[in-house]
Amino acid sequence: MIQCFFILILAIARSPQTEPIEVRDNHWAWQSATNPTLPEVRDEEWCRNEIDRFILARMESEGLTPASEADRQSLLRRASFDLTGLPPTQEEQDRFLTDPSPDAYEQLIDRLLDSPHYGERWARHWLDLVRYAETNGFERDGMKPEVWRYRDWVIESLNVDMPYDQFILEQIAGDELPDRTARTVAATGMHRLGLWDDEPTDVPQAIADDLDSIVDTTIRATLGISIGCARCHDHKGDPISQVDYYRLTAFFSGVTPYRNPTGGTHIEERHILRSMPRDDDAEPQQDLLERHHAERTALIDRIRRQEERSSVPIDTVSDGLVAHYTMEMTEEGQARDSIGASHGTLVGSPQSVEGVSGNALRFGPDTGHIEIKRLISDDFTISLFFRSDAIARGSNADPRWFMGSGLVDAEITGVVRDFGISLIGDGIVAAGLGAPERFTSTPPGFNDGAWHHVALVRDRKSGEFALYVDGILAQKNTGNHDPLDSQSTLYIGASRPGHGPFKGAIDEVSFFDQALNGDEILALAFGVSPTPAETSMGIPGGESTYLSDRRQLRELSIPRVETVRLLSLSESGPQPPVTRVLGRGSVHAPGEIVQPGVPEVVRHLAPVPESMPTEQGDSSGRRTALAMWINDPGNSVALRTAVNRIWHHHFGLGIVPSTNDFGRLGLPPSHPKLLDWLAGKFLQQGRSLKAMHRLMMTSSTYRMSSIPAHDALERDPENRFLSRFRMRRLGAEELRDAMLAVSGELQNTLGGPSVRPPLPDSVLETSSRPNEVWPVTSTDDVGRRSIYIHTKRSLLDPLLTVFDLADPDSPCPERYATTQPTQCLTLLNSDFSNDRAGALAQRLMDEHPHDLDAQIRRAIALSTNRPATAQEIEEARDFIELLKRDEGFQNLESLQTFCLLALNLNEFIYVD
Amino acid sequence: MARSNPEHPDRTGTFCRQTRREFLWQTGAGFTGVALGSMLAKDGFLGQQAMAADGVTDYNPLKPIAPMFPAKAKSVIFLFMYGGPSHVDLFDYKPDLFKHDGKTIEVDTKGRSGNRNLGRVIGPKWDFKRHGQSGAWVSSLFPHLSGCVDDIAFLKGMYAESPLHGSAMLMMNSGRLLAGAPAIGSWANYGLGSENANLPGFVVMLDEKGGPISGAKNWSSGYMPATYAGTVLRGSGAPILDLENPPGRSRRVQRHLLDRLRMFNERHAEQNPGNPNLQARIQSYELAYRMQATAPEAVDLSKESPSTRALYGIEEPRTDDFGRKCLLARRLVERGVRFVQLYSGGAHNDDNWDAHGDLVKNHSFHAGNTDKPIAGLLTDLKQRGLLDETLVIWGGEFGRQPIAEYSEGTGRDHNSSGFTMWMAGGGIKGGISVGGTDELGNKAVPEIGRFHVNRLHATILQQMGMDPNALTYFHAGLEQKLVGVEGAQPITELLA
Repeated sequence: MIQCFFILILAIARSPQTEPIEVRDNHWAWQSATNPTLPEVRDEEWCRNEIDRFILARMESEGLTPASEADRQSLLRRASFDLTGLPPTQEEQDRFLTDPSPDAYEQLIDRLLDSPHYGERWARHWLDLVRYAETNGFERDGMKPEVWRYRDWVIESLNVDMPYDQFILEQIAGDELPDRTARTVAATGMHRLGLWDDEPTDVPQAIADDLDSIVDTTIRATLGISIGCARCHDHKGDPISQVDYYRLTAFFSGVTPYRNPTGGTHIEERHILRSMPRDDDAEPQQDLLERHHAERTALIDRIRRQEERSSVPIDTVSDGLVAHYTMEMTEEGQARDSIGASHGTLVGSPQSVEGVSGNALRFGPDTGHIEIKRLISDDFTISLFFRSDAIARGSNADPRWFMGSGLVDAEITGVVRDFGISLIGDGIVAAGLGAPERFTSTPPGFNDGAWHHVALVRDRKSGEFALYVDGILAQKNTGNHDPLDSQSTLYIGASRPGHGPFKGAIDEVSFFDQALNGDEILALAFGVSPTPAETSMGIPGGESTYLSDRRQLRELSIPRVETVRLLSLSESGPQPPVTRVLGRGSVHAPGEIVQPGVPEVVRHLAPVPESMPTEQGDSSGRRTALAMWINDPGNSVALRTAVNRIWHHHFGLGIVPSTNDFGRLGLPPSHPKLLDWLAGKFLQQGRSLKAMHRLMMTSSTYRMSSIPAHDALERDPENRFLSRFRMRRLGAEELRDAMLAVSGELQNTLGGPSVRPPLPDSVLETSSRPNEVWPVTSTDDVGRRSIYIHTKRSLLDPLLTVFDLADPDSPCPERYATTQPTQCLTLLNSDFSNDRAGALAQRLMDEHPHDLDAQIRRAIALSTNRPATAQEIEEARDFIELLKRDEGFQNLESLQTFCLLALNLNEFIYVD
Repeated sequence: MARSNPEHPDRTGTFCRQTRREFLWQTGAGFTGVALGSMLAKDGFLGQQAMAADGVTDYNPLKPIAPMFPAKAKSVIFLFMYGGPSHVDLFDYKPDLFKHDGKTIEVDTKGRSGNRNLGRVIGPKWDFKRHGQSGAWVSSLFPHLSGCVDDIAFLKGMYAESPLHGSAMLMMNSGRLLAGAPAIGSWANYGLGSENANLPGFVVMLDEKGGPISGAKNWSSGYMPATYAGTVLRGSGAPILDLENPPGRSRRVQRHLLDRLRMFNERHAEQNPGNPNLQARIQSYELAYRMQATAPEAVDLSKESPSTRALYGIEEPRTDDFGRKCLLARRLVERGVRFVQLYSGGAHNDDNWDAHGDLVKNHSFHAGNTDKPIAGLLTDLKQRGLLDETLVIWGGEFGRQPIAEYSEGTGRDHNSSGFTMWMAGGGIKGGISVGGTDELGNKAVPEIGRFHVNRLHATILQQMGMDPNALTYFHAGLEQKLVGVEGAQPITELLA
C-alpha cells in the first residue's frame, strides 16, 4: 500500500511525455476480467445464487449480518418500480401476494420482465446516457426530425431482449450492416441526439464539436471511459492520450455532419435522414423497379412486333406540337427548335453525347443550361428523355419539385403560377404546379444511368395534371385553373439560377399546347402507335391480343416500397476524410494524421478488425470495426461497464459507483471479483439483459429489507458492504407516472411521436416565444407516460426538472436525488398534483360510494401498495372530518385534500 | 479553502478523500443533499455540504458556507441588457465616430451577417458629456445614471467569442458557448449557499415581453443538481411557480395538511431508520411552508415609502415595470438572496436591445425604461449602506458595431470584439474606467486593456470571497470551473 502510494506520487510528479507506460497500464480497469473462484461463506443457507456468496463473504469478513428478507409487499413494489417504473397493478398484487408456490417471486420477476413497460423503464436509463433530446438547443432550439423513432427502437429492443452486443452494434453501425433494415438504421439515431448549432460562429469547429460529442458519448456509454479530457492535450495521469482520442474519432470521421460545411444555416436533410422500407422483409425499391422495367420492355417488344404487321399506317404524335428541341449540337449559342423558330439560348457549353435519337446534351456543374421562351400556359404536355447516374439536389424525404435539379423548370420564388419537372435525391422524378402548390413524384431509383422518358400533362379546365415516366402514369393531382404564366423563361437542364444544375443528359424535348392522352404519351416514349384502336384493325387476326397488351401496358404502375424516414448516420462513401490530431482541440491547428485505433491501455484486450467498406460502397465500415472490437468477448472493459450499469440501477450504486468512468478519475469497485464474475456470466448468458436482471433480482442480496440488522448501522453506516437494501427516491418520471397510475389516469399507449400536454403559463413565459414554444398536442396526453413527453432542451417539464430529470445536454450516467423545498411546493400546489388528487378522489368515490373508510383504505393501498392500518384510517378520517367541520369543505373537496396527502407521503415517494 | 464537489478526485489527496467521495456516492447517485449527520459533522469538508438532518437542526440544502476568504460582496445584482446595448452610444465615447458619420470606411467586423471589411459609419446618435468628479463620459441617454458615475467602474475593453445571441448569452451567463454548464448564480450558490433559507438563493426576473433566447438555459444549473438552478420570480401574480396554494385552500388548511402529512411521514421514518433523507424531506416541507409566507412578503412593495418608490420610477409609465424589479432586487438582497438577475428586454428584435433597424427608436426606448430605475437602485443601495456588500453588474451579451448593418438606416449589427460593461459596489473601485477599444469602438485593444468575459466572472467570484480558480465541480472527467478549465484572473485594477 505504501509502495503504491509512492508510485502514484512519482507518476504525478513526472511530465506526461516521460511517464512510463507501465504506470498507465496497470490500473485494474484496463485488465482482462479474471475468472474468480466463488468465495467461501459461513452461512451457506443465506446464499440463493453466486452473487450472494460474493456479497456475504465480504459482509462476514466485516463482521456484518445481512438484513432480513423484505416482506412480499415491499418486494413487489420494489421489483415493479425497478423493472417497469410503475407501481404494481391491482391484478399483480392479488396474484403475487396470495401465490403459494415456492417460486412465486421468480415467476413475478418473469412476468414483470415480459411487460412492455419494462422497455419504457429501462430505455429511460439508456436515453440518459446518450443525451436523448428532441430539439437541437441553441438559439432556435429547432425540432430534430423523426427523433422519436430512435426512442421507440430502444424500447422495442429492450422488450425483445436484444442481446447487448447487437444493441451496441446497431447503434454504432446499423447503417453499415449487410442486412440493414429500418430498425438497424433507426438505431444509429443515437448519434444525432446532441446539441446542434445552426448558426455557429466557426462552422468547421462546430462540426468538430459535433463529432466530439458523438465519439465521447459512444465511448462513455460502451466502455465507461471519459476521453473528452484528451481532446486538447495530454493530461498527467490520464490513461487516454491525445493521439488515442483522435484515433477514436477516426472511426467516425466519415460521418456526414448535420450541415453542409459551406452551406447555409439549414440542416442538410440528406446527411441525417434516410428513407428505408418500413417493412424489414420488403423487396428493395431498385429490385422492384428492375422487374417493372423488364415487364414493361417485354410488353412493348410484343406490341411493336404486332404493330409491324399492321396495314394501318402509324402516325407520330404531332397535334399541338409547338416546339421540339432535338438537342443536336448546332451553331454556337443556340438550341434549335426543329419545327419552328422558338430557338433557345445555350448558356455555357453543355457537351454533345449520344442520345436516344441522334445526340443529346449533357449538363453538369460547369457546363451550363438552355433557356427558352415559355410557349405554354394553359393545356400543355411537356415530353423529354433524360439519363443520370448522379444523386440529385434535395432529399428523398421532401419530393417537392423545386427542391430538386431541374429538367424543365419554370419555377420562381414564392407561391406563384409556375411549374417544373425535376430530379430529386436518389432518382425521384418530380413535377408540380404553383398557386396553390401541388406536387407529383415517383419513387426513387430513376438515376440508374438508363434513358427514361418523362411527360407532364396539364388540363387547365379540370385543373388536373399528371406525371408519366416511361409511358406509365406515376401520379396525378389537381391544381389551379389559371394560366401558368408567372415565368416567361423556361430552363432546360437547370432549375432557376442558384439552385444547382441537373447532372446528366437530356434529349428530344418537346412542348405541346394540348393535354395528350396516355396512348399518345406511350407513343412519345416508345414510338408505339398513338391510336391503338385504329392500328388494331390493321393487324391480321391478332386484334384482341394486341389491344389487351396495350391495355395491360396502360394499367402498369410504378412500384413503390412503403418507406419510413429515419434520423440516422450515414457516410458519403467508402473512403472517409483523414483525421488529424488537433492542437488544443482546434480545427485551425491540425497536426499529424492518425489512423483509426483504440486507446493504448485497452488495445491488449482484443484485436481491432480491419474496416471493410459496405457492399453498396456508401460507408467505410470503420464503425462496424469499432463495434466489433467493443463487442469482442475479450473486451472485459465493455462487459464490466454493462453489468455495472445494471447493478447500479438495481442496487442504487454501481459496484464501480462512477458508472461512466472506470479510469483513475473514477471510484474503485466495492466488490471487484463480483464485477468480473458478473462480466463472465453476462457473456455466458448470451449478453441477455433480462437474464442478468433475473439473476440479480432473485438473489438474497436484492431481497434484503432496507432495515439494517442489529448493529449494521453502526458497523456499516454508509452501506458500502450492501448489508441492507438501499431505499431510493422515485426518479422524476417514475414519480409522475406513479401519480397517474394511482389516480387511474395512466394511459397504456406504447410508442409514437412525443406529446406536449399543457404546461403552466408561467413556465411558457420564460421562453422568448411564449405563444409558439409549446403547441399542446392534446389535453388528454397528460396521461401518457413521461418518457413520451416531448424533450425540448430549452423548455423542460417543471415537475420532472425539479425532481432531477437528467440534463439532456450531456450524458447523464447517474441521476441526482436531491431533497428541496421546491419539490414540496410542486407536489402540494401544482396544477398537475392537484389534478391527480382530484382524479383520485373521484376514483375513490366511484369505487366505494358513500363509504369513507373504504375510500381511505383504498387511497393508502394505492399509494403505498400495502393495507392501511386502523390507526391510519382513524387519522385520515379525523383529518377529513376536521376539514369538513372547521373549514366547511364538502365531501369531495376534503377527500381530495386527503388524496393530495397520499401523493405526498414519503412512503409513496420512496421505494423501500 | 477550495470548494469542490464530493466526486472531485483531488489528486493530491486521492487516498484520504476516497472514503468521503465513495461515501457520498453511496447516499445515492452522487449528491442526495443529505447524509448521516453525525458522521458528517466531524468532517469540515462535508460540513460545507449542509447536510445536517438529525431532525433537530433544520434541513437546508442551501445552508450558508463560509467563503474561502473574507467576501467583499455578499450578494450580486446582475442587470442584464439582453440583445446587446450599443456601447459607443452609451459609455464608450469615440469622437472619431461623430466625424466619420455616413462615410464608408475599411473596418473589420464580425456580426450576425458575417465577416465584413467595409462599412458605413454610423455616428453616435446622442451627445456625450463628462459627469461626476471622475469625469466619466456618459451619453444623454442616461440622464439619471450619469449622476452615479463616481460609484461605477466601467469595463470598456470587454470581448468574447460569439457575436450571436444564443451562444453569447450562454457565455455571459455560464462562461461557456455550449449549453449544459451552470449559470454564475448556480456557481455562487454552490460555493456559498444562501443567507435566507426561506427564499431561493438565485432569482431571475424576466422582461414583461418574454424570456431571452434559449430561455431557462440561461439560469440552468447544468450538470450541477437542480438545487442550484435559478428560480424565476414574477413581478405580478404568483411570484414563484407553485408558491401559492391552489384556489380554495387557505394557509390554515395547508397547515392542517402538513401537520397530518408529518404524522404519517414521522411514523414511516421511525420504521425506517438509517435513511436520513426521509427526515430531510419532512423538514423540507416546513421550509416550503415558510417560503410560502416569506416570498410574498419579500415581493410586497406596498411597504416601501412613496419617496423610495418614486426614486425607482415606480408608477411612471415608462419605468414602472423595471423600477419594480429593481426595487424587488434590493429587497431580495436585503433578505440574503445570493444572486439576482434582472433582464431588460425579452423575446426577439426590438423587444430587447437588439437594434438592427432603428437604433434611435430602440435605444431611446430601452434606455428610457431603465435609466431611472437603475440610478434609483444604486442610490437606494448606497443610502442604506447596502452598496458596499452588493455587487451590481450592468451589461449585455455583447455590444454593437460602429458601422451600419444595412445600406439604409441606423441599425447596428452585433459586436463581441469590443464592448462595455460596468460594475458598482461590492468592493469595486468607483469612478474609474479600465480597458478600451480602438478609435471607432470596434475592437478591444490589448495595449489599453482587453478583458475576456471569463475575467469578469473571475472578478465576480473573487469579490464574493471565492478563488475563481479553486471553485471547481468535477463533471465528465474534468474539474470544471466557471472561468474555464484553464482558469482566469480577476481584473485587479477594479478592486478597491
